[in-house]
Amino acid sequence: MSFLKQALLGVKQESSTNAKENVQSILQESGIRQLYLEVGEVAQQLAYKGVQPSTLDSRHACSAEAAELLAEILDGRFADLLSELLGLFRCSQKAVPAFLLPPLLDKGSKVYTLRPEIIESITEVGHWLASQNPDWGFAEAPVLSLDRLQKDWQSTNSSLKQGIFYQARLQNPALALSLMQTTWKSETPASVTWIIRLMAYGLSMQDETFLELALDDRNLTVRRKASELLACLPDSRLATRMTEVAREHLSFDGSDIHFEQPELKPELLRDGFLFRTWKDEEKLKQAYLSDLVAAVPLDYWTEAWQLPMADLLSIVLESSCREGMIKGLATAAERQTNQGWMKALLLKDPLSITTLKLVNLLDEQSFLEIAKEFAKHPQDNDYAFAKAYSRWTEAWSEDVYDLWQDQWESVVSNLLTETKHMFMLRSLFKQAAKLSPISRFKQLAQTFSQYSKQTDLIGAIQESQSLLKFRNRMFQSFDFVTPIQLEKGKE
Amino acid sequence: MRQNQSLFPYTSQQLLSLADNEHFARSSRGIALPYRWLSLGQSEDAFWGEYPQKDKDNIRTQIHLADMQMSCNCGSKTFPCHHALALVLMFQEEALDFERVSVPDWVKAKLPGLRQANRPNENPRLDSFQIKGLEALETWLFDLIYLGLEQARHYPFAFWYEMANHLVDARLGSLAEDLKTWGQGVTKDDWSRELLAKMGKLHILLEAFKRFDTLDKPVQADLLQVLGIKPAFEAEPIEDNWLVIGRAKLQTGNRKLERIWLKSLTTGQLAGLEKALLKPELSDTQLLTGLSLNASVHYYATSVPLYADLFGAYKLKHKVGKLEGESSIKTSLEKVAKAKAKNPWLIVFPLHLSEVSLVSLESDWALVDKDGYHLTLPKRTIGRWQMRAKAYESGLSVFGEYRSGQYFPLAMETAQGWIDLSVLRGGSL
Repeated sequence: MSFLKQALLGVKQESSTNAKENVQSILQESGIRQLYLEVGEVAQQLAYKGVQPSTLDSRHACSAEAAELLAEILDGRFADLLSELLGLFRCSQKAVPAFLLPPLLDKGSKVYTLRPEIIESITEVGHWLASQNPDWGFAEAPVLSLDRLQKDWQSTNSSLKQGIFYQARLQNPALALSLMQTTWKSETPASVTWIIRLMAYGLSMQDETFLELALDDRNLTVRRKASELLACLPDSRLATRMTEVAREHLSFDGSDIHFEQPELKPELLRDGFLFRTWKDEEKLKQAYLSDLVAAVPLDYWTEAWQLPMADLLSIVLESSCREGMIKGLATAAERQTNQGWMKALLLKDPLSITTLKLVNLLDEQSFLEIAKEFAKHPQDNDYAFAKAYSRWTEAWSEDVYDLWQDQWESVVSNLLTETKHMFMLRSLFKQAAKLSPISRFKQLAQTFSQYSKQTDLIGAIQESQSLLKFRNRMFQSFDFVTPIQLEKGKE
Repeated sequence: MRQNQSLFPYTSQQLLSLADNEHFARSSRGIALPYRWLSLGQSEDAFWGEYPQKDKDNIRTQIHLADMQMSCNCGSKTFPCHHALALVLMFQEEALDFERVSVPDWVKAKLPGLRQANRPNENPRLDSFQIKGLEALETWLFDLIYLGLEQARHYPFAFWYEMANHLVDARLGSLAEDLKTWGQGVTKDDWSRELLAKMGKLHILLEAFKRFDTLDKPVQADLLQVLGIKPAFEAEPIEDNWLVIGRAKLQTGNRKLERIWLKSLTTGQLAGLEKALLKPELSDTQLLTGLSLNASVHYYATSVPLYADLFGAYKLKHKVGKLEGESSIKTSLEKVAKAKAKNPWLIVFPLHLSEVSLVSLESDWALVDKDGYHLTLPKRTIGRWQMRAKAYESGLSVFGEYRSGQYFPLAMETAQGWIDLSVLRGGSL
């Protein structure tokens, strides 16, 4: 009988002397056997030999400090600075360290708007690693392959599909459109909503036919979004139809603008007019006017009414149609990203609720132009200068910074007197810390320290100082700046 | 280079490796903002901060610079607490935020003296409690076999715990923790086979203790180590430059252990500093993975010199630079087998492997060397994707512990130095 069998059954049936000896021998035998097995352990061999290290990457390893900062950002600290830091990796030709690739790729799989930057920042190692994990397929190659696109598009995972569709729209909008059309009719209502929203990326006249068809979709969101997108295309059929409606119902007699509310025919509802049950007729009229103007190409107004943009806007502001026209024109300028109109609207109607959204769409030159105008009278229009700076989210150039620095003292002293502007003031400090150019860090740090004893601003100042110091460390870690001794965080 | 790097050589990743878990690290990071603290100060010996609390006294946290001893009055059971971790992170990132002022009284009152390692007894032996404990264990093992293991399958958990508790009372805690697990998995087919193997090994250990006085000194030391008794040291300590190459924290039942592994930068010899964490604050907060030090390491006089203690003061610095490990898994396991033949009671073997890569084999992940020999990793090993990427980038150099037939990676080498795998995030599959 083997010792295991004996141990299982026990030895109590045996006489007491034998039992003791038997127990001892069972334990001894099993103990020695176990030790023998442990000591004799040998390595197992596979046919697989592992991967060969890559030899294709030409980028150099980054500094330990840069790696640490990236790890901190990926861990959630100053997460807004990820794009800037990835930009530093790219322009300094440094490779993202291998041990930070998984959290970076995880970030890209969750926040698909970051994908283009992530893909540009990673090296061949990153692409290889991404190809090993289905969640990171989006980064397996610098350019999305048709295979990957088709594979992920067949997935039932909605976030995976959204991400891949977004990428495809940026890379090859026509391909994305044709792939999407293969499944469009079978998509769920939730899916069609995000699909139509993502069509905004890479939008062109190639999408027009599909969007025209989408105007007849049974889903209201799809119909509305399709009409919005078609209104972004001045050459679309919808824009032409709306121009015709505008020609019929909106006129300028040389001194005033007249709007005759069109009858809400099904064709108009199809083209994006909203059915409203409001009782206030004037409000209703302005809303329809806005719907119409927002869908008409902006060039139409100057051509049809033969007025320069500025004069036209002056007339609009004086007319009875002011509200609907300005709202519509601002929406049209936003949709058609027309810098000239945006600038003119912001100057004529400085940062009202309607035009505020345009600030962030301005390019640097246009922003500087309007900011310089506002700087002449910074307190006017409810501190339009400060509002513009708090809304503009592009990186500040030295010119943008210098203009801000010139006005800063008077802006802060005026804003501090009004409690309602404290929020704007705090966000201005943070914007400055986040967007200022490196050449102005020292100056900015000194500015911050001037206000560090201001009771209402202590929190915002300290937060901004931390942010500025972090950015300073970022640039230092890539040797872009010589170390700057920034002012102390606490006074 | 940071301004205070020579004074405070830690990176934020090293400091975050002290956190109990990922969420703890993240929440500590959330309060590591100077403007959230009422005051931050530093002197030659220490730095400190006061953190506000609503309707309560401020929390006072201080760190002793010489040995990174941390103290906080927040009452947290986790060590280091959020406040201590946040404070060290802030000091690492921006020491300028800490004003150089005279040391407040509350800091002076708590400034600790340098930790002293306990020198073991020159001639350690079992005490009478332990001898009685071992005798009781022998009788208990005898009874189990006498009645048959098939019957033991039906015993309640309390049966195993009762003996384990008895061993704890007899100061044989290291044996007790394993014994508590014996009653687990009774429905498995292999349960009785595995149990008998464990019982047999334990029996041989008991037999060895019966002949303790007749055994050679190194063998006696091996046996004492099994019971958690520090054996005598070897004649001379080794003064050298060492790298902290990995840290492991383990918990078996209520017993917590911390192992810090050092690797000699000249000879490549490994030394393990093992400590039972009877209190969380006994954890070492100074020797963090990736730092190097010039220190005297005194090995215990066991048959396989592996564990040691550290003596005297040392200065830490960040170490970057390639460090060669063993590139053949086959050779590594042969060394393990040799060590085990000398000391069968060793259960943990440190392995520094170089030029290996990481592959997924169906449900498991494994380290593979260039000849195809492999070591499987436990499921959910942290840092798998990072190791895989590193292997493809420039070859993987990894340090870990080999125990129970599996490799437990603890740290990997990067261009920025050695990093503790516990701080790595990302990659869920």
